[in-house]
Amino acid sequence: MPVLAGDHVQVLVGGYELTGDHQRVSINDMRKTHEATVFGDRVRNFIPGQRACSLIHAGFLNPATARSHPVLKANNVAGVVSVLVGQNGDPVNGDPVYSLLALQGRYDSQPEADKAVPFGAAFASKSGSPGGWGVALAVPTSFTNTTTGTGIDNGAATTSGGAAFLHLLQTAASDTYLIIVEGATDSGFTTGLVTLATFSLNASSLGSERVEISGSIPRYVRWKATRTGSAGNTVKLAVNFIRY
Amino acid sequence: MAISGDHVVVILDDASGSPRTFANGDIISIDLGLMADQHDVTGFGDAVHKYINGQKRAPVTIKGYLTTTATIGTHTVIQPVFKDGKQVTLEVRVGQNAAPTTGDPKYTGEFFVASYSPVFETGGAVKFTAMLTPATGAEPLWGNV
Repeated sequence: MPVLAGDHVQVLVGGYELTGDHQRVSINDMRKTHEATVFGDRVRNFIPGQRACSLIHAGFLNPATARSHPVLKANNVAGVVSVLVGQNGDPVNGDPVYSLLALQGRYDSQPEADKAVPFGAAFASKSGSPGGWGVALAVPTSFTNTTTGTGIDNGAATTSGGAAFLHLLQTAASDTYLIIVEGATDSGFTTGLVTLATFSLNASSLGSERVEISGSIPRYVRWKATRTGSAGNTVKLAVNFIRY
Repeated sequence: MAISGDHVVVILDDASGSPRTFANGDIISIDLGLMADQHDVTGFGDAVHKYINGQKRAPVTIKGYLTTTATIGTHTVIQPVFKDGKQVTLEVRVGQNAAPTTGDPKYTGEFFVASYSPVFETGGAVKFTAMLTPATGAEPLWGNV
């Protein structure tokens, strides 16, 4: 896989897609290290501590409805922030994604003559459980009825738990949905089928959600939305998945 | 003889402990810090401050392009070892104006990946910076391939 151009990134903040207003995202994921140096050591050495996750966004201030300025200006976003990384193309299911249940800590802007008005925003982890790198089960996708996503092969089952993240980007006027993430031991989802995460958001309002998953996770994972109602309203969502 | 920085090979353990050689073109720079704490022991009569060396510090900074190549991509290798807090062996081979070969300088040590920070920016390739700190009391060493 060649070097990736930075042009193919999607940015989701809570229930909003702000890709078109962003031009730079920095992911600062670090682990505090505690010094463990003792007499006799030739070099200062460390043991790993807790992780500290933060995101820094930069782009252009856009005052239109549901764009960067109205979404970020109150400096109080508390929800999932995700960065989907396309591999020299638009992001597709299975591509890497960084997701964090985040708390916004900064929103600033520096208007200047002869330049587009920029904004900057910063987010830190809101939860004691980590976010991190995973895969996109559903890049922003629209549907009008019960839908089962494409299964994603993560290569192997794991046993350390993980987390599922949901962004609801367009809501249904009257239909509601049960949205889950499920796993299986085969690509046809016929053996070892298990529900890994059940979201409380039901497509009736914009928002985002993180669901913790404990224990074993099968190799194959997919999302699923089951409709209650018959209106056929259009719903748009994104689902991401990480394994610890 | 000055040597060009173009011929450097970086090898880092993956999450299963297997050494992985990053592909040519994936690593842009690697900063191999090796410095000693210096304690001021200046006394009366000294015309100039003087020091003794204490323990060494050996931070490493790796900068490169984020790649997702199976087994040897930079993201493929570095992100899991960072996430798992795993101790890894780092080896850096410096070729003398050619691909590294027997006798060329080699830097090795045991480290933790303390941070992994990719940056996405329009109009540019996706790059990352990873910071490593020593994991044991044994200092990283310059030796030979």
